[in-house]
Amino acid sequence: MSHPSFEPETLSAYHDGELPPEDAARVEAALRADPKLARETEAIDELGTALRAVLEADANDVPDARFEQIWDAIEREIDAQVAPESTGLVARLRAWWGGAWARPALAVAGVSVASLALFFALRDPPRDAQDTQVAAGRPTPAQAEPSPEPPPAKAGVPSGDVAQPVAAPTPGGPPALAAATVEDDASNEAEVEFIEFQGSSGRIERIEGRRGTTTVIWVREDEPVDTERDL
Amino acid sequence: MTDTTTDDRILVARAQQGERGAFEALFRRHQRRVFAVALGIVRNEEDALDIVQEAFIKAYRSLPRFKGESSFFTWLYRITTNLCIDHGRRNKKHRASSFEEQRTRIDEDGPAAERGAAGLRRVTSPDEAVARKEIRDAFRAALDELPEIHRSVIVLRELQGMSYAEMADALGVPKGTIMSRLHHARRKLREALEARGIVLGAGDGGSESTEGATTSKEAVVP
Repeated sequence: MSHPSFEPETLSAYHDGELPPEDAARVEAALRADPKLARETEAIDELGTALRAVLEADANDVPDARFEQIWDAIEREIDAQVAPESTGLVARLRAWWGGAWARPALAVAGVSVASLALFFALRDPPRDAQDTQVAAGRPTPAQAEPSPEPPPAKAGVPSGDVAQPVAAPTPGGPPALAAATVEDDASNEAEVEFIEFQGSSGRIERIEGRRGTTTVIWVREDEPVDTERDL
Repeated sequence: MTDTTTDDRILVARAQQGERGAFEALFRRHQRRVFAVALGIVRNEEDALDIVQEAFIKAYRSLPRFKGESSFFTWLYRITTNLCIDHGRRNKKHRASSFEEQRTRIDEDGPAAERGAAGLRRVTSPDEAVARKEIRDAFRAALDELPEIHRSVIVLRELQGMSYAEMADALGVPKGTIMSRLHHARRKLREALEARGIVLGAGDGGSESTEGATTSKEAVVP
Protein backbone atom coordinates (compact mmCIF):
# COMPACT_ATOMS: atom_id res chain seq x y z
CA MET A 1 0.00 0.00 0.00
CA SER A 2 1.32 3.42 -0.94
CA HIS A 3 1.13 6.55 1.17
CA PRO A 4 1.60 10.16 0.08
CA SER A 5 4.28 10.92 2.68
CA PHE A 6 6.60 7.94 2.18
CA GLU A 7 7.68 5.21 -0.22
CA PRO A 8 5.85 1.85 -0.24
CA GLU A 9 8.99 0.04 1.05
CA THR A 10 9.05 2.31 4.10
CA LEU A 11 6.13 0.63 5.84
CA SER A 12 7.77 -2.77 5.43
CA ALA A 13 11.05 -1.40 6.81
CA TYR A 14 9.16 0.22 9.71
CA HIS A 15 7.58 -3.13 10.55
CA ASP A 16 11.03 -4.72 10.58
CA GLY A 17 12.47 -2.01 12.85
CA GLU A 18 14.90 -0.91 10.17
CA LEU A 19 14.02 2.80 9.96
CA PRO A 20 15.98 5.59 11.63
CA PRO A 21 14.08 7.19 14.55
CA GLU A 22 12.90 10.29 12.66
CA ASP A 23 11.46 8.21 9.78
CA ALA A 24 9.86 5.78 12.22
CA ALA A 25 8.18 8.70 14.02
CA ARG A 26 6.78 9.91 10.70
CA VAL A 27 5.33 6.47 9.95
CA GLU A 28 3.86 6.17 13.44
CA ALA A 29 2.06 9.48 12.99
CA ALA A 30 0.64 8.25 9.68
CA LEU A 31 -0.45 4.97 11.28
CA ARG A 32 -2.37 6.82 13.99
CA ALA A 33 -4.15 8.89 11.37
CA ASP A 34 -4.92 6.08 8.93
CA PRO A 35 -6.50 2.78 10.13
CA LYS A 36 -6.00 1.20 6.69
CA LEU A 37 -2.29 1.79 6.98
CA ALA A 38 -2.34 0.22 10.45
CA ARG A 39 -3.99 -2.89 9.00
CA GLU A 40 -1.20 -3.07 6.42
CA THR A 41 1.36 -3.53 9.18
CA GLU A 42 -0.85 -6.19 10.72
CA ALA A 43 -0.93 -7.97 7.37
CA ILE A 44 2.87 -7.94 7.17
CA ASP A 45 2.98 -9.42 10.65
CA GLU A 46 0.43 -12.12 9.82
CA LEU A 47 2.22 -13.01 6.62
CA GLY A 48 5.48 -13.58 8.47
CA THR A 49 3.85 -15.63 11.20
CA ALA A 50 2.01 -17.81 8.68
CA LEU A 51 5.12 -18.32 6.58
CA ARG A 52 7.12 -19.39 9.62
CA ALA A 53 4.39 -21.80 10.68
CA VAL A 54 4.19 -23.41 7.25
CA LEU A 55 7.95 -23.79 6.75
CA GLU A 56 8.56 -24.99 10.29
CA ALA A 57 5.76 -27.50 9.85
CA ASP A 58 7.40 -28.76 6.68
CA ALA A 59 10.72 -29.00 8.50
CA ASN A 60 9.10 -30.89 11.38
CA ASP A 61 7.70 -33.40 8.91
CA VAL A 62 11.19 -34.69 8.15
CA PRO A 63 11.88 -37.70 10.37
CA ASP A 64 14.90 -37.63 12.69
CA ALA A 65 16.25 -40.69 10.90
CA ARG A 66 16.65 -38.66 7.72
CA PHE A 67 18.85 -36.16 9.55
CA GLU A 68 20.82 -39.08 11.01
CA GLN A 69 21.53 -40.21 7.46
CA ILE A 70 22.69 -36.73 6.61
CA TRP A 71 24.98 -36.59 9.65
CA ASP A 72 26.45 -39.97 8.69
CA ALA A 73 27.19 -38.63 5.22
CA ILE A 74 28.76 -35.50 6.72
CA GLU A 75 30.93 -37.62 9.02
CA ARG A 76 32.13 -39.70 6.08
CA GLU A 77 33.14 -36.50 4.31
CA ILE A 78 34.89 -35.23 7.42
CA ASP A 79 36.77 -38.52 7.82
CA ALA A 80 37.82 -38.44 4.19
CA GLN A 81 39.03 -34.90 4.65
CA VAL A 82 40.80 -35.36 7.98
CA ALA A 83 42.78 -38.49 7.09
CA PRO A 84 44.92 -37.15 4.27
CA GLU A 85 45.31 -33.68 5.75
CA SER A 86 46.51 -34.80 9.15
CA THR A 87 49.16 -37.22 7.93
CA GLY A 88 49.82 -36.53 4.26
CA LEU A 89 53.36 -35.44 3.62
CA VAL A 90 52.31 -33.40 0.60
CA ALA A 91 49.62 -31.64 2.63
CA ARG A 92 52.04 -30.95 5.46
CA LEU A 93 54.58 -29.53 3.07
CA ARG A 94 51.82 -27.45 1.51
CA ALA A 95 50.80 -26.19 4.94
CA TRP A 96 54.41 -25.41 5.74
CA TRP A 97 54.79 -23.60 2.43
CA GLY A 98 51.64 -21.64 3.21
CA GLY A 99 53.08 -20.38 6.50
CA ALA A 100 53.89 -16.69 6.58
CA TRP A 101 57.46 -17.38 7.65
CA ALA A 102 58.18 -20.08 5.09
CA ARG A 103 59.04 -17.98 2.06
CA PRO A 104 61.26 -15.47 3.86
CA ALA A 105 62.98 -18.43 5.54
CA LEU A 106 63.56 -20.04 2.17
CA ALA A 107 64.96 -16.78 0.84
CA VAL A 108 67.40 -16.61 3.75
CA ALA A 109 68.30 -20.27 3.24
CA GLY A 110 68.84 -19.64 -0.47
CA VAL A 111 71.20 -16.75 0.22
CA SER A 112 73.08 -18.90 2.75
CA VAL A 113 73.47 -21.78 0.30
CA ALA A 114 74.67 -19.41 -2.41
CA SER A 115 77.19 -17.90 0.01
CA LEU A 116 78.45 -21.35 1.01
CA ALA A 117 78.71 -22.42 -2.62
CA LEU A 118 80.74 -19.32 -3.37
CA PHE A 119 82.90 -19.95 -0.33
CA PHE A 120 83.66 -23.56 -1.32
CA ALA A 121 84.21 -22.60 -4.94
CA LEU A 122 86.87 -20.10 -3.95
CA ARG A 123 88.72 -22.26 -1.43
CA ASP A 124 91.01 -25.29 -2.14
CA PRO A 125 89.41 -28.71 -2.46
CA PRO A 126 89.43 -30.80 0.73
CA ARG A 127 92.57 -32.85 1.24
CA ASP A 128 92.08 -34.95 4.31
CA ALA A 129 90.02 -38.10 4.39
CA GLN A 130 87.51 -36.90 6.98
CA ASP A 131 86.51 -33.92 4.84
CA THR A 132 85.97 -36.17 1.84
CA GLN A 133 83.81 -38.54 3.81
CA VAL A 134 81.64 -35.78 5.17
CA ALA A 135 81.33 -33.90 1.91
CA ALA A 136 80.71 -36.92 -0.27
CA GLY A 137 79.04 -39.15 2.23
CA ARG A 138 81.57 -42.00 2.17
CA PRO A 139 81.04 -44.08 5.28
CA THR A 140 83.73 -44.45 7.85
CA PRO A 141 84.61 -47.98 8.88
CA ALA A 142 82.56 -47.44 12.02
CA GLN A 143 79.53 -46.29 10.06
CA ALA A 144 79.70 -49.37 7.84
CA GLU A 145 78.73 -51.59 10.77
CA PRO A 146 75.11 -51.88 11.88
CA SER A 147 74.29 -50.42 15.23
CA PRO A 148 74.15 -53.10 17.92
CA GLU A 149 71.21 -51.41 19.65
CA PRO A 150 69.34 -49.15 17.27
CA PRO A 151 67.21 -46.48 18.94
CA PRO A 152 63.40 -46.74 18.61
CA ALA A 153 61.78 -45.37 15.48
CA LYS A 154 59.79 -42.12 15.56
CA ALA A 155 56.22 -42.33 14.37
CA GLY A 156 54.37 -39.76 12.34
CA VAL A 157 55.75 -39.73 8.82
CA PRO A 158 53.62 -41.43 6.20
CA SER A 159 54.68 -44.27 4.03
CA GLY A 160 53.93 -44.73 0.39
CA ASP A 161 56.06 -43.90 -2.54
CA VAL A 162 57.48 -40.76 -1.02
CA ALA A 163 60.98 -40.62 0.34
CA GLN A 164 61.37 -41.16 4.07
CA PRO A 165 63.53 -38.97 6.27
CA VAL A 166 66.30 -40.83 8.03
CA ALA A 167 67.95 -39.02 10.89
CA ALA A 168 71.62 -39.87 10.93
CA PRO A 169 73.72 -38.89 13.92
CA THR A 170 76.11 -36.08 13.60
CA PRO A 171 79.78 -37.00 13.72
CA GLY A 172 80.53 -38.60 17.04
CA GLY A 173 77.17 -40.37 17.32
CA PRO A 174 76.63 -44.13 17.26
CA PRO A 175 77.46 -45.95 14.02
CA ALA A 176 74.30 -47.12 12.30
CA LEU A 177 74.29 -47.56 8.55
CA ALA A 178 75.95 -49.37 5.75
CA ALA A 179 76.16 -47.62 2.43
CA ALA A 180 76.83 -48.59 -1.16
CA THR A 181 79.07 -46.10 -2.87
CA VAL A 182 79.99 -45.31 -6.42
CA GLU A 183 83.62 -44.40 -6.92
CA ASP A 184 84.48 -41.52 -9.11
CA ASP A 185 87.90 -42.42 -10.46
CA ALA A 186 88.69 -38.95 -11.69
CA SER A 187 88.16 -37.13 -8.42
CA ASN A 188 88.78 -40.06 -6.10
CA GLU A 189 85.51 -39.15 -4.38
CA ALA A 190 82.36 -41.25 -3.95
CA GLU A 191 78.61 -40.74 -3.86
CA VAL A 192 76.39 -42.77 -1.56
CA GLU A 193 73.40 -44.12 -3.47
CA PHE A 194 72.03 -46.91 -1.31
CA ILE A 195 72.03 -47.45 2.40
CA GLU A 196 71.04 -50.27 4.70
CA PHE A 197 69.71 -49.51 8.14
CA GLN A 198 67.82 -51.38 10.82
CA GLY A 199 67.18 -54.33 8.56
CA SER A 200 65.87 -52.13 5.76
CA SER A 201 67.40 -50.51 2.73
CA GLY A 202 66.75 -47.74 0.28
CA ARG A 203 68.00 -45.18 -2.17
CA ILE A 204 69.12 -41.79 -0.92
CA GLU A 205 66.95 -39.10 -2.42
CA ARG A 206 68.59 -36.08 -0.88
CA ILE A 207 70.38 -34.85 2.20
CA GLU A 208 68.26 -32.21 3.84
CA GLY A 209 70.80 -31.07 6.37
CA ARG A 210 70.89 -30.51 10.10
CA ARG A 211 67.92 -30.66 12.42
CA GLY A 212 69.37 -29.75 15.76
CA THR A 213 71.99 -32.37 16.54
CA THR A 214 71.04 -34.78 13.73
CA THR A 215 71.48 -34.84 9.99
CA VAL A 216 68.36 -35.61 7.99
CA ILE A 217 68.72 -37.81 4.94
CA TRP A 218 65.70 -38.56 2.73
CA VAL A 219 65.61 -42.19 1.66
CA ARG A 220 63.19 -43.91 -0.71
CA GLU A 221 62.88 -47.23 1.05
CA ASP A 222 62.72 -50.48 -0.86
CA GLU A 223 59.92 -51.55 1.48
CA PRO A 224 58.29 -48.35 2.80
CA VAL A 225 57.08 -48.12 6.39
CA ASP A 226 55.21 -45.50 8.37
CA THR A 227 57.99 -44.24 10.57
CA GLU A 228 60.64 -41.62 10.76
CA ARG A 229 63.78 -43.49 11.76
CA ASP A 230 66.66 -42.67 13.98
CA LEU A 231 69.85 -44.38 13.12
CA MET B 1 19.11 -15.44 20.51
CA THR B 2 22.09 -14.13 22.48
CA ASP B 3 22.41 -17.37 24.46
CA THR B 4 22.26 -19.36 21.25
CA THR B 5 24.89 -17.15 19.67
CA THR B 6 27.14 -17.49 22.72
CA ASP B 7 26.67 -21.24 22.77
CA ASP B 8 27.42 -21.35 19.07
CA ARG B 9 30.65 -19.46 19.63
CA ILE B 10 31.75 -21.95 22.26
CA LEU B 11 30.84 -24.88 20.04
CA VAL B 12 32.55 -23.30 17.04
CA ALA B 13 35.74 -22.75 19.07
CA ARG B 14 35.69 -26.39 20.20
CA ALA B 15 34.96 -27.60 16.67
CA GLN B 16 37.89 -25.54 15.40
CA GLN B 17 40.07 -27.43 17.87
CA GLY B 18 38.96 -30.61 16.11
CA GLU B 19 36.22 -31.72 18.49
CA ARG B 20 33.82 -33.69 16.32
CA GLY B 21 31.09 -33.71 18.98
CA ALA B 22 30.98 -29.90 19.03
CA PHE B 23 30.39 -29.77 15.31
CA GLU B 24 27.73 -32.43 15.63
CA ALA B 25 26.03 -30.30 18.30
CA LEU B 26 26.02 -27.37 15.86
CA PHE B 27 24.49 -29.64 13.24
CA ARG B 28 21.77 -30.86 15.63
CA ARG B 29 21.00 -27.33 16.70
CA HIS B 30 20.61 -25.89 13.22
CA GLN B 31 19.65 -28.86 11.03
CA ARG B 32 15.90 -28.20 10.84
CA ARG B 33 16.26 -24.45 10.56
CA VAL B 34 18.75 -24.79 7.75
CA PHE B 35 16.40 -27.26 6.11
CA ALA B 36 13.45 -24.87 6.47
CA VAL B 37 15.47 -22.07 4.90
CA ALA B 38 16.59 -24.32 2.05
CA LEU B 39 13.09 -25.67 1.50
CA GLY B 40 11.66 -22.16 1.58
CA ILE B 41 13.99 -21.19 -1.24
CA VAL B 42 14.41 -24.31 -3.41
CA ARG B 43 10.89 -25.70 -2.81
CA ASN B 44 11.90 -29.36 -3.03
CA GLU B 45 12.38 -31.56 0.02
CA GLU B 46 15.14 -33.85 -1.23
CA ASP B 47 17.04 -30.97 -2.80
CA ALA B 48 16.71 -29.04 0.46
CA LEU B 49 18.09 -32.03 2.41
CA ASP B 50 21.00 -32.27 -0.02
CA ILE B 51 21.66 -28.60 0.57
CA VAL B 52 21.64 -29.14 4.34
CA GLN B 53 24.30 -31.81 3.91
CA GLU B 54 26.36 -29.73 1.54
CA ALA B 55 26.08 -26.62 3.72
CA PHE B 56 27.40 -28.38 6.82
CA ILE B 57 30.22 -30.05 4.91
CA LYS B 58 31.19 -26.70 3.46
CA ALA B 59 30.94 -25.09 6.90
CA TYR B 60 33.19 -27.77 8.38
CA ARG B 61 35.78 -27.32 5.67
CA SER B 62 35.72 -23.55 6.14
CA LEU B 63 35.75 -23.62 9.96
CA PRO B 64 39.48 -22.90 10.23
CA ARG B 65 38.89 -19.68 8.28
CA PHE B 66 35.79 -18.65 10.27
CA LYS B 67 36.86 -15.66 12.37
CA GLY B 68 33.58 -15.06 14.15
CA GLU B 69 33.04 -11.63 12.59
CA SER B 70 29.41 -12.60 12.06
CA SER B 71 27.47 -15.11 14.12
CA PHE B 72 27.79 -18.76 13.18
CA PHE B 73 24.18 -19.00 12.02
CA THR B 74 24.47 -15.91 9.81
CA TRP B 75 27.54 -17.45 8.26
CA LEU B 76 25.88 -20.85 7.95
CA TYR B 77 22.74 -19.38 6.37
CA ARG B 78 24.88 -17.41 3.96
CA ILE B 79 26.46 -20.69 2.87
CA THR B 80 23.00 -22.27 2.67
CA THR B 81 21.53 -19.39 0.69
CA ASN B 82 24.42 -19.42 -1.77
CA LEU B 83 23.96 -23.15 -2.26
CA CYS B 84 20.23 -22.59 -2.84
CA ILE B 85 20.95 -19.91 -5.42
CA ASP B 86 23.47 -22.19 -7.18
CA HIS B 87 20.93 -24.98 -7.06
CA GLY B 88 18.27 -22.73 -8.54
CA ARG B 89 20.49 -21.86 -11.46
CA ARG B 90 21.16 -25.54 -12.15
CA ASN B 91 17.66 -26.89 -11.70
CA LYS B 92 15.31 -24.15 -12.74
CA LYS B 93 13.18 -26.32 -14.97
CA HIS B 94 13.22 -29.45 -12.86
CA ARG B 95 12.22 -27.72 -9.65
CA ALA B 96 8.57 -26.94 -10.31
CA SER B 97 7.58 -30.42 -11.40
CA SER B 98 9.42 -32.20 -8.60
CA PHE B 99 7.81 -29.99 -5.97
CA GLU B 100 4.42 -30.93 -7.34
CA GLU B 101 5.34 -34.59 -6.92
CA GLN B 102 6.62 -33.98 -3.42
CA ARG B 103 3.52 -32.08 -2.42
CA THR B 104 1.32 -34.83 -3.74
CA ARG B 105 3.33 -37.39 -1.81
CA ILE B 106 3.10 -35.42 1.44
CA ASP B 107 -0.61 -34.95 0.97
CA GLU B 108 -1.06 -38.66 0.45
CA ASP B 109 0.73 -39.29 3.73
CA GLY B 110 -2.33 -38.00 5.55
CA PRO B 111 -1.89 -37.76 9.33
CA ALA B 112 1.90 -37.54 9.07
CA ALA B 113 1.59 -34.48 6.91
CA GLU B 114 -0.80 -32.89 9.37
CA ARG B 115 1.38 -33.67 12.38
CA GLY B 116 4.14 -31.21 11.69
CA ALA B 117 2.19 -28.09 10.87
CA ALA B 118 2.74 -25.72 13.78
CA GLY B 119 -0.74 -24.38 13.36
CA LEU B 120 -2.27 -27.81 13.14
CA ARG B 121 -1.39 -29.03 16.59
CA ARG B 122 -4.50 -27.40 17.97
CA VAL B 123 -6.82 -29.07 15.53
CA THR B 124 -10.16 -29.59 17.18
CA SER B 125 -12.39 -30.52 14.29
CA PRO B 126 -12.15 -32.11 10.84
CA ASP B 127 -13.37 -28.86 9.29
CA GLU B 128 -10.55 -26.93 10.92
CA ALA B 129 -8.02 -29.52 9.79
CA VAL B 130 -9.22 -29.24 6.23
CA ALA B 131 -9.15 -25.44 6.37
CA ARG B 132 -5.62 -25.41 7.75
CA LYS B 133 -4.41 -27.90 5.21
CA GLU B 134 -5.84 -25.68 2.51
CA ILE B 135 -3.99 -22.70 3.94
CA ARG B 136 -0.77 -24.66 4.06
CA ASP B 137 -1.23 -25.74 0.46
CA ALA B 138 -2.05 -22.20 -0.56
CA PHE B 139 1.15 -20.92 1.06
CA ARG B 140 3.20 -23.58 -0.68
CA ALA B 141 1.69 -22.69 -4.05
CA ALA B 142 2.12 -18.97 -3.40
CA LEU B 143 5.75 -19.45 -2.44
CA ASP B 144 6.30 -21.44 -5.63
CA GLU B 145 5.15 -18.46 -7.64
CA LEU B 146 7.66 -16.06 -6.13
CA PRO B 147 10.97 -15.47 -7.90
CA GLU B 148 13.85 -17.04 -6.02
CA ILE B 149 15.43 -13.70 -5.10
CA HIS B 150 12.19 -12.74 -3.36
CA ARG B 151 11.80 -16.09 -1.63
CA SER B 152 15.37 -15.77 -0.31
CA VAL B 153 14.79 -12.45 1.42
CA ILE B 154 11.42 -13.25 2.87
CA VAL B 155 12.58 -16.63 4.16
CA LEU B 156 15.74 -15.19 5.72
CA ARG B 157 13.76 -12.38 7.30
CA GLU B 158 10.75 -14.27 8.58
CA LEU B 159 12.39 -17.57 9.43
CA GLN B 160 15.74 -16.36 10.68
CA GLY B 161 14.84 -12.87 11.81
CA MET B 162 17.87 -11.54 10.00
CA SER B 163 18.39 -7.80 9.92
CA TYR B 164 18.65 -6.03 6.57
CA ALA B 165 22.40 -5.66 7.11
CA GLU B 166 22.79 -9.38 7.79
CA MET B 167 20.74 -10.25 4.70
CA ALA B 168 22.73 -7.81 2.60
CA ASP B 169 25.88 -9.51 3.84
CA ALA B 170 24.47 -13.00 3.26
CA LEU B 171 23.18 -12.27 -0.23
CA GLY B 172 25.92 -9.91 -1.30
CA VAL B 173 23.66 -7.01 -2.25
CA PRO B 174 23.20 -3.47 -0.83
CA LYS B 175 20.84 -2.89 2.09
CA GLY B 176 18.55 -0.78 -0.10
CA THR B 177 18.13 -3.72 -2.46
CA ILE B 178 17.10 -5.92 0.46
CA MET B 179 14.51 -3.35 1.55
CA SER B 180 13.07 -3.19 -1.95
CA ARG B 181 13.11 -6.95 -2.53
CA LEU B 182 11.46 -7.65 0.79
CA HIS B 183 8.68 -5.19 0.09
CA HIS B 184 8.03 -6.76 -3.32
CA ALA B 185 8.27 -10.29 -1.92
CA ARG B 186 5.61 -9.52 0.68
CA ARG B 187 3.37 -7.81 -1.82
CA LYS B 188 3.60 -10.66 -4.34
CA LEU B 189 3.09 -13.32 -1.69
CA ARG B 190 -0.02 -11.56 -0.43
CA GLU B 191 -1.36 -11.24 -3.96
CA ALA B 192 -0.75 -14.93 -4.61
CA LEU B 193 -2.55 -15.82 -1.37
CA GLU B 194 -5.44 -13.51 -2.17
CA ALA B 195 -5.78 -15.24 -5.53
CA ARG B 196 -6.39 -18.39 -3.49
CA GLY B 197 -8.95 -16.76 -1.22
CA ILE B 198 -6.67 -15.95 1.71
CA VAL B 199 -6.74 -12.32 2.74
CA LEU B 200 -4.37 -10.97 5.37
CA GLY B 201 -4.67 -7.80 7.41
CA ALA B 202 -8.41 -7.44 7.01
CA GLY B 203 -8.71 -6.73 10.72
CA ASP B 204 -10.52 -8.36 13.60
CA GLY B 205 -14.19 -7.71 13.13
CA GLY B 206 -13.52 -4.89 10.72
CA SER B 207 -15.81 -4.08 7.86
CA GLU B 208 -13.39 -5.66 5.37
CA SER B 209 -13.19 -8.92 7.24
CA THR B 210 -13.60 -11.99 5.07
CA GLU B 211 -13.92 -15.68 5.70
CA GLY B 212 -10.45 -16.15 4.23
CA ALA B 213 -8.89 -13.66 6.59
CA THR B 214 -10.50 -15.26 9.62
CA THR B 215 -9.30 -18.67 8.52
CA SER B 216 -5.76 -17.46 8.00
CA LYS B 217 -5.60 -15.91 11.44
CA GLU B 218 -6.54 -19.23 13.07
CA ALA B 219 -4.06 -21.13 10.95
CA VAL B 220 -1.03 -19.16 12.01
CA VAL B 221 -1.44 -19.77 15.73
CA PRO B 222 1.45 -22.10 16.67
